[in-house]
Amino acid sequence: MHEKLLKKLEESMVNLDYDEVVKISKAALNSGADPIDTVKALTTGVRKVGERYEKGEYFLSELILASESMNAGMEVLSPALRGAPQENVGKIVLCTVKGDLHDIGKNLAKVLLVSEGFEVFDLGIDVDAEKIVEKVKETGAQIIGLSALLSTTIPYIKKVIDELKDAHVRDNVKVIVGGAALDEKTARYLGADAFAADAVKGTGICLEWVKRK
Amino acid sequence: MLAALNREEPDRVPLFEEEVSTKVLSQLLGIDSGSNYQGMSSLKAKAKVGLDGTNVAPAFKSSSEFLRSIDDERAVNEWGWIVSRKVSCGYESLSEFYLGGYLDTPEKYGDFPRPDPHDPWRVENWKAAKEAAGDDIFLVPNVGGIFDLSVHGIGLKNYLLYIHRKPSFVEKVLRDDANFCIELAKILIDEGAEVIGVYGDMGEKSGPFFSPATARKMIYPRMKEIGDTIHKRGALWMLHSCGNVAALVDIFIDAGIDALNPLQPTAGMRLDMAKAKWGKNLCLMGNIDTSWTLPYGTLDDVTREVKDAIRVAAPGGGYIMMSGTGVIDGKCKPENFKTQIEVTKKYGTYPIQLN
Repeated sequence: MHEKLLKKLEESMVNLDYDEVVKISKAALNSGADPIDTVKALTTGVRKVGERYEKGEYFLSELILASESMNAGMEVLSPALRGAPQENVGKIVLCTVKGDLHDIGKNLAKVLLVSEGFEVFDLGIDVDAEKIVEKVKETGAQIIGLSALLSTTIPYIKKVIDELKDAHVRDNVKVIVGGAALDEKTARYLGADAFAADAVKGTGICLEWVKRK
Repeated sequence: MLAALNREEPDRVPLFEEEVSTKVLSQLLGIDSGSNYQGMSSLKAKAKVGLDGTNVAPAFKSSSEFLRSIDDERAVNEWGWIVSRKVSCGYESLSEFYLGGYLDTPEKYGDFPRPDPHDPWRVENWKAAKEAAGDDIFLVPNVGGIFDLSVHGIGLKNYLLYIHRKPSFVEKVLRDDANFCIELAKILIDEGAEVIGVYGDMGEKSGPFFSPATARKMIYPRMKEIGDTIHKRGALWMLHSCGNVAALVDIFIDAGIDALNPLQPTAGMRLDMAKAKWGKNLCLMGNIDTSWTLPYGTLDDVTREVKDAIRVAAPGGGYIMMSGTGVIDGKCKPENFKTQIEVTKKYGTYPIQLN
């Protein structure tokens, strides 16, 4: 019974039916389905949404709807998840750099990364380099994801990377950057390890990194 | 400018930019070009540095006098943008002080007074710009956007979500925005505007924000109304959309656009592809990279990229030289911007001789 219900939950996510995702998440919880399995149904659905986005069948607006659906489903499930052991493929510190307040891409990346089993430390927007370095030291995160939409905040990415070097943690982390103002060439020039053209590609790169270790 | 926009061969490839950092202008010219990138002294400076055309924005009251306070740090403008009070009118770029959308629900949108296209400030702004520009630089007034000013007032994430969750609200916003563009276009064309600028960033790096099916159903009808109005009054329509909008361009063409910019290269909008696919229907504008080439590249990098753009897009007419975002911001090396202009003037004379 649970298997069918969870399959339906996954399909609702893939079909971007927000109301059904919430309804079935509640039904799953009330019927005694394992909350971890229920989360897996949601995350499998999100992964499939990402695949459709990569194929050009879904677009940013669909990714945002999936992200909101995921958040709504998780809100239903979160009381049942407290204390439950969860998969952890890696740790990532995520933020939008100082001087920049845009966060759509970062928030999408967060949902996708969580769905792939990452523990995400989201520092929010307008974040200074010192805070990023502190969080890396505190958590032992293997990856830092930096978002910069404004071209004027691009130089700050270099500052973050320089401060990671000064703190002697640069060699312990991979840095991935994304945002409208960036491209592959600029990202390398700034000292990043990778550039993500979108949240789906960025998540794929992060997964590759943790699998290689 | 008009020859290129009509896809004819002018004497030379024209040069156009929407925004140019006043810091860059001042450094190139050795003068104070003002602190407001939309100011009248900025117009004169753009002409002096060698541009043939630029935008003005009667659709957007940028001065701090038009802001309504929310608290000590934030204010809201006529389009419902929450903006920082710490940054005065002398900001370098619009997006630097935008904090988010105030009209994040349909209820808030409904309660907020809509900007009035007939507000006398707008036509007076246009007239003052024309007087300042004289014959030195061609002006394209911006009448707002079909996916621009209200999107930022609502918040992009909210707007894209509402396309799916509250489509009738999005239809209403699109109608409101189209009506604003139409009414303001009529006023400005009657006051001498020959080209109307309509804005709307509809793409990200990987593709459009929404599906072509959504664009055809929701955006196209309003765009067609705008295009018909502009053309009936004998003017041309220049559309700005950053991002990878390749999947939407046929829809834009059906709606009647005459020119498309900025053909953002970092979003995969290749000029050779654009010329082959759309060159018969559109004047193409832009494509000089602002992520790497203009801020970090060498003079040789700029020269090579500008020559390549001319070689690919200029023959036969229908190309206007412009940056790939329309914005020369404070990060751009002034000498690189100067080189973009000089190389265009050297190699952009018709008939184009570059092999």
